Amino acid sequence: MADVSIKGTLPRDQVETPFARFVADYCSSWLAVAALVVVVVLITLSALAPWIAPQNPYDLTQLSIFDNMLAPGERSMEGKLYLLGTDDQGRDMLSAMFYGLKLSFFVGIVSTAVALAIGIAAGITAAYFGGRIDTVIMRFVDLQLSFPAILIALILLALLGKGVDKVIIALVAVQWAYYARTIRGGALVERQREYIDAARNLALPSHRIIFRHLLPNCLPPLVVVATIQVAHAISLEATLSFLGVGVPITEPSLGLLISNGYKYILSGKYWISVYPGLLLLLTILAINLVGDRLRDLLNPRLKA
Amino acid sequence: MNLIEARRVSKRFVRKPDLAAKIAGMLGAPVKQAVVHALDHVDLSVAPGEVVGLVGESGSGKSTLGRIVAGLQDASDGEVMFEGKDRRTLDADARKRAYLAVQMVFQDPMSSLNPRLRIADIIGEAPLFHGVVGRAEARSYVSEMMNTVGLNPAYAERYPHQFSGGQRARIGIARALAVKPRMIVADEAIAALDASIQAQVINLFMKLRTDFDLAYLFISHDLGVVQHIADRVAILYLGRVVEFAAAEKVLATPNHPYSQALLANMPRVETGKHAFAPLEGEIPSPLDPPRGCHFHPRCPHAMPRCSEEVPPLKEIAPGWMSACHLNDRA
Amino acid sequence: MSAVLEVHDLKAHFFTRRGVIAAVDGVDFSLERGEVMGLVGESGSGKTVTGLSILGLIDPPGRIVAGSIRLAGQELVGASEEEWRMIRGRKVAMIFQDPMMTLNPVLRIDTQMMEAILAHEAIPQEAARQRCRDALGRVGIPSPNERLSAYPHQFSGGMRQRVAIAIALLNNPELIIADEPTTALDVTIQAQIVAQVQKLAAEMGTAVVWVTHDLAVVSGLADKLAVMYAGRIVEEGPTADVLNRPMHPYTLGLLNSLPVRNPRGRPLNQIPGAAPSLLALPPGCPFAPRCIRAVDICRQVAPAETDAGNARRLRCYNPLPAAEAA
Ligand SMILES: Nc1ncnc2c1ncn2[C@@H]1O[C@H](COP(=O)(O)OP(=O)(O)OP(=O)(O)O)[C@@H](O)[C@H]1O
Ligand SMILES: Nc1ncnc2c1ncn2[C@@H]1O[C@H](COP(=O)(O)OP(=O)(O)O)[C@@H](O)[C@H]1O
Ligand code: SF4
Ligand code: SF4
Ligand SMILES: [Mg+2]
Ligand SMILES: [Mg+2]
Repeated sequence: MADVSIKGTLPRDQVETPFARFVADYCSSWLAVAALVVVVVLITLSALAPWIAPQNPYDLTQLSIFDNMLAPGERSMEGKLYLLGTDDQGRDMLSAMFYGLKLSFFVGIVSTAVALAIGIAAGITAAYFGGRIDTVIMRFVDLQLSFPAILIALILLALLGKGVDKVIIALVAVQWAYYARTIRGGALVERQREYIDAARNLALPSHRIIFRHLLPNCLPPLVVVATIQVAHAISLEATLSFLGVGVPITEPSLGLLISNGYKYILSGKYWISVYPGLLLLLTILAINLVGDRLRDLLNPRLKA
Repeated sequence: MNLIEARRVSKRFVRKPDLAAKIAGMLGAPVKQAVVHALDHVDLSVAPGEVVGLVGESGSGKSTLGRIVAGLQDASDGEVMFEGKDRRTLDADARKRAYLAVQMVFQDPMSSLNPRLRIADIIGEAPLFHGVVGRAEARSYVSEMMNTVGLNPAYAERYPHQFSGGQRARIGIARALAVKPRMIVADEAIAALDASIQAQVINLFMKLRTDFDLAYLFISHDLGVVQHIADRVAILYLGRVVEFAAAEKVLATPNHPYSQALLANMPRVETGKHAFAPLEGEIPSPLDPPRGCHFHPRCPHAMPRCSEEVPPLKEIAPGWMSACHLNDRA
Repeated sequence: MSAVLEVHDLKAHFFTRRGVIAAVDGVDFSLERGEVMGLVGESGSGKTVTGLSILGLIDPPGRIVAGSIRLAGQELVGASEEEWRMIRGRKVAMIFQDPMMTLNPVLRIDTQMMEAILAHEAIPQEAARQRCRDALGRVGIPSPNERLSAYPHQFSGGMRQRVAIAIALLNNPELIIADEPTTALDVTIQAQIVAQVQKLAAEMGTAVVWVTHDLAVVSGLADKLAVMYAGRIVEEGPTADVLNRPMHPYTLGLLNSLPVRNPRGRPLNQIPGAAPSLLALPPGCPFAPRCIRAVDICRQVAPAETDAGNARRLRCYNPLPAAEAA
């Protein structure tokens, strides 16, 4: 299909785009701005992990068992400084946390993105066409949502086995239905609006109406859900890893690090669990704060 | 030949039983399916270049008829002819042209514009898509359309929220005009506008009529406006046309008792402070309309026959249709 | 006779992130017992905010920044929340465009009506019930006794609006503020409600502020008319007088743009332009950019209110002579 957009072909006068207005509104809460900064910093740090981490915690040749359980700030026998100590394998905690964070974000974002794509396709199809198509899709969604997410994930992982890819598949499976339901709700409301009638009246084809008119107007609530779901996915991954069915022990995520350190907490070796725990908490808190602010701004009932 | 002609058009909506009704039904209670007769054998025609006003109270079926004429909904019964041909029997290309020829202008100027598109795209999308203009001329075509409806083309890159109510109404009109329609269905298109802006938009509608030889189906509850711009007026009551004739006749010497009541209750600036003598009674529920003449429970002239027999829409004078048993007595 | 309501130099502003919106910016008027005033103006001109101010219902970011509102001699500006509870619903009541603003969809009508009475008076249940029945009867609801135990959704739109009016009447308030109460209703139903209100004002002596943008509705109902533009009353006077001999160019423009005032099929006399944004009001008279009679001073200093005789007041430097327009 030809792209019939004619953007940019007309002289631009000064335009306040909906997006620019949105950014200005977002920035009026300093807490939300701080949370966003934290999220951006954390994502950047995790993306740069291979370059900024003192050590590659996945490379067993770099680990020395003699350096295990060093307290934060202690030096190894070779004089290497371990700012946040080491774990029972002699891993530098700081490096392990950078890599763990990277893995957590990777799992959270990829699973959310895939689930989002599936959910959008299912939800918007259900809403636009209605009738039997709607019924079939939504029964499936209801069924999916009536089981606790953790249970479904546990069963899937029990069948599939460990591995980052398996965790992502499990997370997609438990998440897509939320998106399908959210976008269907929004799309049902938007579909009633007269601009959809106007587009039909102009004899535009269904796929064009769905993707160019309906979908962009259903995205705002989805952005909120997706943001908060990333946090949810990260904590779900941490839970699964903590329970020992998530990522393999050789590539620890934050959840696995916490799990590893858990058994030493009572013997005073708090740092192995506590630092990854704090990082996980900070990550999830910051993402949720961003999500809450987005929700406030995008909630039509709160708008004047 | 008429541009558009609705023949015996009926539209039924089946209300799905709600949860309580479903449960009651399961327990064996007699639950009858609720059917709304939004339109009941409606005949209506619009000639090329003609303005037909459609008047009636809430729920009388004005929007439903407008949407059927514009092709947004299908009639349950009856047919809509475009230039004498049933649109459904045309081949794909002709059918598309027939539907594009009838464009709708909506009531709510905000919700009828996609908030995420720039004005240039709102107006330009359909003509470009349907090849009314080529890509190269799209820009000047949009500017031309904006000029036609009295908008500054420099605003083409703006979004709907950056315009006032009256300007948004103009954008909606420009969007309809851009596919070169023969007829516009205006469903309460000025109702949401301020008094001082209504006059501007009415003037625009009248100018476009002469400039483009447009026909209108002008839906409004404001008799004053309809009187001003319509050639013929149809009055709808609970899904039936009760009177259809030239505007100066219907609105000066209405024949049907309901038209008379409507006119008597129309607020006017002229009258000055006076005691209102309103028509008694509620508008009946379309789910369960009165038998016979729908208007009989409120009609000051109701006779026994009125609650039994549906009065047909009959010609009482050349070009003057009315549906009332009183006309049989003379 | 002293006035029921005296509003003097009322200013209610909204302090938003985008700037201060002077929604009501110096409004004066007064009402006698049984008097009906029509308050007309386009959307955003401050009609609703004026009404809400009189009920003490302006919420942050808005507040009343100046002026006084005296109801039967009592000053309302600065009243405590405690005092407001005694005033609202009892001395002054409001009817909204959407009756569901007043009615709770999950409670029966009688529950809601009894509550409104018993909040202000300790009277026996049966007496309160009787008063509810009377109130429903007074607004023309047939078989009020059976209707009392219905839920709001069982009524049609027009009936619901009548129930809302009945609730407003329960405590015999001295003042009713009706904000576009018939805008959403049909012509025949609107006529019924206008007739009821007219009767009530005459029989009960209730003063009414009828907010609307429809000049035709108030022309048959109101004793006096106030025309608002950009937060101020620009013209006020006896209804027939204002409509027959408008002096403010805006009032004249509104009247001249009515289809019935124009020959059939000819272009209407339109007021050019659109109402200004309250955030970017032009200096001087806010109507000046659209005004055909504007003179130099209009664009510099906003006109003050002047007395134009015959109980008429005006904000205009270059008004129409009272005789010309007729
Ligand atoms: N999709 C639908 N499902 C069920 N009933 C419907 C539907 N659309 C319309 N109706 C019913 O059909 C009747 C006519 O509706 P319509 O919208 O045409 O009225 P209208 O004359 O345009 O009224 P208004 O002045 O309120 O816009 C009403 O009783 C309405 O409730
Ligand atoms: N809660 C609010 N916050 C900000 N501005 C408001 C609020 N309520 C009303 N306004 C503004 O006050 C002005 C007058 O509003 P209103 O009294 O509702 O007008 P109307 O005459 O249509 O009833 C408008 O510009 C409106 O945008
Ligand atoms: S048919 Fe009978 S009830 Fe109907 S309008 Fe005529 S006189 Fe009245
Ligand atoms: S003061 Fe001037 S600008 Fe304002 S209405 Fe009067 S003449 Fe017009
Ligand atoms: Mg309608
Ligand atoms: Mg208002």
